Amino acid sequence: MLYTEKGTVEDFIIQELQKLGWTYVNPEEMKLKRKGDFEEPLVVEELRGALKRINSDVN
Amino acid sequence: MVVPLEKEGREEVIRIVDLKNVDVNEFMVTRQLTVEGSKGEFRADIVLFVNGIPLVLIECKNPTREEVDKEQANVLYSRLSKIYDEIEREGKVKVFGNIDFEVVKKIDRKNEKIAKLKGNKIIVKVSAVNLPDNALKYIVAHEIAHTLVKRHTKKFWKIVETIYPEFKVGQKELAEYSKFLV
Repeated sequence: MLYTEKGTVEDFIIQELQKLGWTYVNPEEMKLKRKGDFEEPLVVEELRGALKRINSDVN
Repeated sequence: MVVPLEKEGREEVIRIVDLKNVDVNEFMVTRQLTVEGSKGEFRADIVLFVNGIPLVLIECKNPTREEVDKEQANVLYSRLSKIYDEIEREGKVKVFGNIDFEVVKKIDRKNEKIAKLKGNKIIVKVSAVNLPDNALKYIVAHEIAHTLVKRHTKKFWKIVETIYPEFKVGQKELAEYSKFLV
């Protein structure tokens, strides 16, 4: 068996993070979330939603 | 966590992460994330986002992949080439085609082999850089002989001797230094 970075290290890290409550988003889903703009490092929609949610007390 | 915001001439303070109600935040992990920039593409193994903001970048390294120290590899390569050039100049043995070298971290799974012949290429383990010239010359003579005779027959050793008459000196040094060839 060939050991790949994906098969060994990445999978392990992602599994551990999921146990801690992180949500795994696979690369394809991520592309959709980024709406094809790959120069933008932020996930704008997520950020906008979170800002609204967290700052609901602010006008 | 607190950013001032200019809005209608006044300032508002908004939070980008809610530290009081942690569950309100979005925690997201993805892999093989590509970001394009003016200097090309950047690819990250694992990225952790909090509320859509990339906060943590993890680069994974495979523990079984071994990388060769480039500097050592270059030193070894030029030493081997020099030895080979001398042998070729002496012209005691006619080698068909050009022989080249390749320096690798490891040759066999058990990590016992120091060198091997593959076609017209002599593959040598990078730790051989620690060997003295005589031992390296023996390795080169040995592998050149293999281009003519596959097995360690009498004829094979005759060729090694033709290329490197004092090959036993190199052989002995190789044995002495083998403990450094990890």
